[in-house]
Amino acid sequence: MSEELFRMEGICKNFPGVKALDDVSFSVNKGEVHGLVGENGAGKSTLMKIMSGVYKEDSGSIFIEGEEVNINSVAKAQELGIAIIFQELNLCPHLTVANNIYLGRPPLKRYLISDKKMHEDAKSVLDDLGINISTHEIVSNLSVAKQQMVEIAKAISQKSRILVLDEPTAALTEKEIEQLFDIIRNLQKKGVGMVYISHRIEELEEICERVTVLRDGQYIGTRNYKDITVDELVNMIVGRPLEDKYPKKIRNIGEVCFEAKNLSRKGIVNVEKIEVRKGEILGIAGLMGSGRTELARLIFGADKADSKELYMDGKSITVNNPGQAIANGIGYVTEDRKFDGLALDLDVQYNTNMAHLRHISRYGFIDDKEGKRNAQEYKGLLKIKTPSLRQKVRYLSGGNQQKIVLAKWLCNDAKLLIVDEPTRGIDVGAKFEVYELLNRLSDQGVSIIMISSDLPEILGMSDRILVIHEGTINGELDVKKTTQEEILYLAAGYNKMKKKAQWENIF
Amino acid sequence: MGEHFLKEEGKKVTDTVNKLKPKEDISHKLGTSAKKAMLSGAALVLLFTVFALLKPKLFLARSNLINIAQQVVTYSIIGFGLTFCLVCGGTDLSAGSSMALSGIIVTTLLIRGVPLVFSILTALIFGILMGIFNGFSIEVLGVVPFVATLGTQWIFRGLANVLVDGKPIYTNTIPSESVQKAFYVLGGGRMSSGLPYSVIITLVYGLILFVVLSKTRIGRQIYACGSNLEAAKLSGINAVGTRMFAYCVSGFSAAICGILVTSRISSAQPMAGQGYELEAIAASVLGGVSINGGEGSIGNTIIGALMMGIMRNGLNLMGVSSFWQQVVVGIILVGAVAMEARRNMKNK
Repeated sequence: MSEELFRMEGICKNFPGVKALDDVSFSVNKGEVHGLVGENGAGKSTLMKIMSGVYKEDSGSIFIEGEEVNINSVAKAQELGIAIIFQELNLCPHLTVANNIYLGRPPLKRYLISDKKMHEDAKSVLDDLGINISTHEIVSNLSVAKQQMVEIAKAISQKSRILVLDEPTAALTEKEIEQLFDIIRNLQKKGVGMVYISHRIEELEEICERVTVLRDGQYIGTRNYKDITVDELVNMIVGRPLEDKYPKKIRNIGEVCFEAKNLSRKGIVNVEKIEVRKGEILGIAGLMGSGRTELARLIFGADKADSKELYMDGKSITVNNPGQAIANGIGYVTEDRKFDGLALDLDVQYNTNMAHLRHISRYGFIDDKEGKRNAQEYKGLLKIKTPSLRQKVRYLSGGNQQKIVLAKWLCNDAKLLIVDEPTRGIDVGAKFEVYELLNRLSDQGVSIIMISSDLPEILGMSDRILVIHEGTINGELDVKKTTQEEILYLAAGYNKMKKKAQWENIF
Repeated sequence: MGEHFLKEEGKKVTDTVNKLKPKEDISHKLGTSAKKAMLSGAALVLLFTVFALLKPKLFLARSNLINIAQQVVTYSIIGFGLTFCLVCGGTDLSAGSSMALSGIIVTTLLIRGVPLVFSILTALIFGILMGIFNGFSIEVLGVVPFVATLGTQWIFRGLANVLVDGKPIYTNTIPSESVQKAFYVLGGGRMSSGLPYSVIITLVYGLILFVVLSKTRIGRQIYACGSNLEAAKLSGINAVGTRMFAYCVSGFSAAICGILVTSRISSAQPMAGQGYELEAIAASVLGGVSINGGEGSIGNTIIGALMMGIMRNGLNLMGVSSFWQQVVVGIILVGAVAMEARRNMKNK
């Protein structure tokens, strides 16, 4: 089992002005899943890009099965059997599963493509991995989890021996994660070595034998999972002890601030009533696709509702579009900052001010001084790390990007802030800062609705939890008296009243 | 604004996070389009110097410089409108046709004896209406900008032909001679120094649009829509209205251009302005406006239009045939965009 497959030694990589990697060593054994962790900007992706031939190391050596290799191009890396499954999947959405697996190298029969053979071959690869997807399915019809599996199958069909999984579970539900882990275990049996990059420490614990920590481009160490506690690991990652993942908070909860009644959109959301009090954080849990985000979009006026009644401070308000929502003091921090949260090619100042141009303009003219002052203020307040306010947000780390999305709404004096997956894909330290920020807002009397797939986060931050299943509320839980299991149970669509034993029988 | 948010600093935790401080780089302080404007500005100066050295007498002659300015006017004005469309993530292929149609409208009205100011205003309003029509098919009917404006390119061109039965109409058939003269002054008149009024009109119009795009709320909204439409909508920006506005600016600009050209050549041609929209897009892109939206300014467009104008004029003076000129302009356009693309790749 412990036969070495891949080793990097003393890897250094400099970018102008930044030492991205400094003497990093790292190895993967056959059939091993090796965790690679570190905060954003720690050097994980640079290391990965060196492995895959996108960058060339400045110094250091790479060995595969004991032989030194020179990975000087992406093609070379592929030839050596190194494949990376990126967070953003690289599939052609309009083509079938089989076509994607054999993209660029379809099986030929007398110079023509043999569709029959392609589907047979693809099916055997999928079967071999225990993946149950039709090879004729169009990729865009598949869930993200299934698409990821296709990507893995594609890599394996190219005879890859070393797989790098970059945040593979970021967009998966608990159940899908289990399926992915089954596939990973299958691959382990075949002797494939895997590098598993993730922010979710609980997952690493489940799937990895060893874990390597990078911080600020430095190699911090490699540990066997069984010899180390989570606290020690977190300590290695952030370089200091984190007393608590969630800041302790005694909340001062006031009157009902926001109320939504009869919210419905046919077939997607059907909610009778939601209320949030002043200074309260209301958690909304549910599986992906359960209608959590759709619910938020309905409240915010981003989607058309079949029916809805909204009340702010007891007064009825009309919200038919995001503009009206903002005017009524509602803010919405979206789920996917790159897709609908930020204008990536515009600068920090621009993005910070994007949702309240009205406030910084007079007679339609923008007051740039005011805009700059405002952006500067929030940059300081949220400790946004950026070389200047003129930096394009594309080049900032995930955590800093997320802070800008938050800043965008903070300067609007929102009474109700809806945050959708506020800490997805950002590192431990930045997560803590976001939590503190939410706490400070609740101190100010802002009502917050927090949607999250991260159960410990929901439990750690909310005062009350609503669990959504198929667009309806399947239970309200008091955070002090509930458990992750209970949330999952309700999220899976089981009723609270049914006996818990039943649930245990099913799983 | 933001006053309710506590000014108290976060507890401890925060300082060690993200230790990797991004380097201080002066180039961040300039916007991308400003950087591009500097680059293409440098190219412009180079181009000017080369021609000035090669053909000093001909090229630097006052009459020639004025000639260049006059040529540049057309592309610039249409280019301004297209810049609005490009920055907000769309395009307007109908600009050349809108220009012809506006020229026909203003001349037809004048020939029928409608007062000058009223005729011009009507043509301008029609320009805006053409923009609204484009915006309507894109925003309400959901046709992609490329196809929608390709369609209106034919619709407006067809209407221009229908109005005059495919034949040019001449301003010397305007009943009042004083109106004839007054109308000619707009596009063909010159100041005592020889500088055409149309150049001044272009500069003033460009300045106004520069302010609109860079200093007003609607301008900011145009950038937001072009950079990330979803984010813009969820930031409470009225995306439909914003993009409508951009198409109206394009239609309005085309109308101005149509009026100026008709005035200068003393006739309205139903086939005028064919392909001008593509020339204007080329000029904008050459100057640094991004074809993908979210980037660019009026300054970029002016520089691009000047580059095109000087290149054409210089090559003419060198005796290069107009066919070869097309080849050269094409190569330079692709080359410039390719250089830009390479720089972008490096940045990522």
